[in-house]
Amino acid sequence: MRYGGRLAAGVALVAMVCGLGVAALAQGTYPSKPITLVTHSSVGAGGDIFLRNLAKHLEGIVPVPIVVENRRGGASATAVTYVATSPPDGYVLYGSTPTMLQTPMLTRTQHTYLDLQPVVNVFFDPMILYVKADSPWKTLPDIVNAARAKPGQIRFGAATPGSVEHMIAHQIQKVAKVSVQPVTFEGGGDLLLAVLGGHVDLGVGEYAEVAAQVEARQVRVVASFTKDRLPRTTIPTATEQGVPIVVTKFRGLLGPKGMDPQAVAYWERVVKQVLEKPAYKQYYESVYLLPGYMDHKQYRAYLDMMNQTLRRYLKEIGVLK
Amino acid sequence: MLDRFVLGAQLAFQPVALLMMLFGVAWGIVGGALPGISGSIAMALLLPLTFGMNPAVALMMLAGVYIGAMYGGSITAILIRTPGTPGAAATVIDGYELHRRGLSGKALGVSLVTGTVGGLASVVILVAFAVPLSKVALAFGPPEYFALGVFGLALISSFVGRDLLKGAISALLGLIVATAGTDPFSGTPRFVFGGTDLLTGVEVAAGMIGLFAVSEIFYQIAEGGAWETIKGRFTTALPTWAELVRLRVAMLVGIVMGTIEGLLPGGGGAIAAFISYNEAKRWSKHPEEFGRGSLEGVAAPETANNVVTGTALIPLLTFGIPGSNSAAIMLAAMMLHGIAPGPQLFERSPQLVYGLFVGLVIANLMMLGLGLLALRPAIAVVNVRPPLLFAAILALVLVGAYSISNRMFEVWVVLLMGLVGYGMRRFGFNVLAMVLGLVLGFLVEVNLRRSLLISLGNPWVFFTRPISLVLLVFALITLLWPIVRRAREGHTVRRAAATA
Repeated sequence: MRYGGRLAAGVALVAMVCGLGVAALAQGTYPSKPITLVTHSSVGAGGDIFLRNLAKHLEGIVPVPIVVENRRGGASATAVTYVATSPPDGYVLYGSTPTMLQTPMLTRTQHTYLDLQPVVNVFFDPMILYVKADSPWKTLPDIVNAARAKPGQIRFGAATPGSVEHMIAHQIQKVAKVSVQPVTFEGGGDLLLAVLGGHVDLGVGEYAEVAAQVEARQVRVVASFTKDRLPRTTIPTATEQGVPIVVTKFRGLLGPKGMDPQAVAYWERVVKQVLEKPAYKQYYESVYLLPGYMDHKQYRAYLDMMNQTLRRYLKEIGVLK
Repeated sequence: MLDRFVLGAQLAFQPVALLMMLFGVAWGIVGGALPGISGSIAMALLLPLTFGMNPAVALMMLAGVYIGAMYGGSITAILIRTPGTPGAAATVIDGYELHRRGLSGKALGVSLVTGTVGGLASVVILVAFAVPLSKVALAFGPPEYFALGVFGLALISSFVGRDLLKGAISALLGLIVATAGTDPFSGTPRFVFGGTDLLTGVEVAAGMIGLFAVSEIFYQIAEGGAWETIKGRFTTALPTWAELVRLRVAMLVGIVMGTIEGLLPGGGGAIAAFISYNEAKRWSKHPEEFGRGSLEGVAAPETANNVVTGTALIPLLTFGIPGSNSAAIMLAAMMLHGIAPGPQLFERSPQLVYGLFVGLVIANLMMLGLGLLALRPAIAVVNVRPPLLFAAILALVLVGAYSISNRMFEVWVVLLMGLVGYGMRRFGFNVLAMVLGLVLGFLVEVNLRRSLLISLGNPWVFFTRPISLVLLVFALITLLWPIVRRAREGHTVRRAAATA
């Protein structure tokens, strides 16, 4: 990917050298050279697709090329360190996911999110609970009752401990005072297959992962863990069903600590603008992302809150002392 | 049905589609041949190009890359003992032996033709049986994956020859390396030595490059360099019809195994290639040639890994779940265009689906043509003096290792694994068994633990489920087969001696 990125950057550089006059004119104002968005995801994974689409739709709004760079490794530690040690001039930004909060809790990393400047949040990924279409359970109370009748025997599929999915499984047990058997899977796709194949009883995941199966009536969504009902659906929230849990994944941008306030303000402005762009709107609605604009102050408060929630949960499940 | 193919063909035969596929296949062959750049990475590098394309053309181009990479991976497996992609790991065994006997051209030709046969067969399977086969994918739960992994591990008994103990130790070494990283069930770091580099584990590709390629270089240098250049004209002849007929069993085995692995998410060709290699040996009329330069030993894994290119699309198109890393990139390309794969896709975008089907056939034929062109230069490139060759290979694999995650860590892994591999060969341990352990370690561990969670701790779950039971019985047979055969051979020899 980086080669692709480099290539694009190279082409852009050549273009800029050719138009020297224009470049000179643009100097001093932000942005005046290509911007790099860094993700720890591999190409094609959620975090990568988010940045690539954002970059694509910012064309025409941001006058310079936007390049996506994948810095994998260290479960986000490599990418966070790379951004934290980049010059804070607003030309290197990090596409965030909850992973960046979780990794420094589990192991010693050089940098944490506190070494980054929150810039702007873009989306929330709604989380949902789903069962196979022929499951007898139609509502969240059905599941809670079943779990009460057979403690520790409902097979509850979720992602690895530390993930938002796993945290939801934990919170359900805590809030509804039941016990289930969590079964972890590496990816949402693997979990979906296990639910469809009847190997586990239910799963927690992102709505986009199961949308096609919902439409094909192979899977039934029982609850969403959002504040309000998901737009264009009739799925009741968990809170409505008496299990007050609201957890969403977030996708936004962070820069190096001490990032130029002008650049921060610039990104707040363009993200707001791009979220209104009809073509982008059509895209993110089709993959069930909820617009979640937050300015840098709100975003910092939100990240602190998420960080505390995650830490408390990791302590409760005994991963953290 | 037919009108849909006409619709698809109209799309696939557009000049721009043909051009993009040709580019994709060529890029795939080159990428596949570069160690560290697997099919999925080669595809990922092209992903940004697909933004402006018609989604069907984008998918055709990416499929072309995937197909080309499978052949590309065998080029380095045969010529420099380095599988360019994990799917070509099993090809190393006999392909490299053929190269050392000066039969590089033959080995590459067999790889190319059987790969094309496998690729075309997989398109037929994909078109005809996508929906029924997707049920097979659902039948595979954690216990079945575990049993499949055990089946794979049982292959060591046929790879290691007489010294089963050293073979078992080698495989164990691979399994140990595979446990480093984040514990998949507790989320806590495991054998990461306090840093962050190992949090995501040891990359299988890095381990493989080190154990195969770098250890071979160290070995050749230490042993005085037995690597000779091929004198005179090297044969580049494609396999004759008679030879192909002789390879039919090996190809059939590859088609069956490749189909199964393609259906199962998380595979990617390496397991199918290893199992087909072993099964082809079992059913062969000349099992004694395996390991010493058997054409069947190249044909079976190379058929299998090309079959995966088509069948990995079955779970992708029917469930929206990719059957391999490469299929995951195709999923990403679809998502980038706002297309949701899944049960409705066939009805909603028949042009896209059938265009892709026709495109797969074209791309496979393009691979055959481009592969033929690449054959002679590829051999010529490695036909230089050993010191030059070693330097070039080392440079190539280290760059490849760096490109896996764009960091130095994998370079150190490759060098360390090279030393480990050299030491192992020096003292009679088996590098191949270690690679097998490394490839299968995560699959086996995760699914063992997950099965026990699902069964609420009941270990009989592996024996009460039919598919899992059958696979475990296969594993047992595979483990004992070479031992029984050796005992029987010993017995006949003794009897012959007694009657004489």
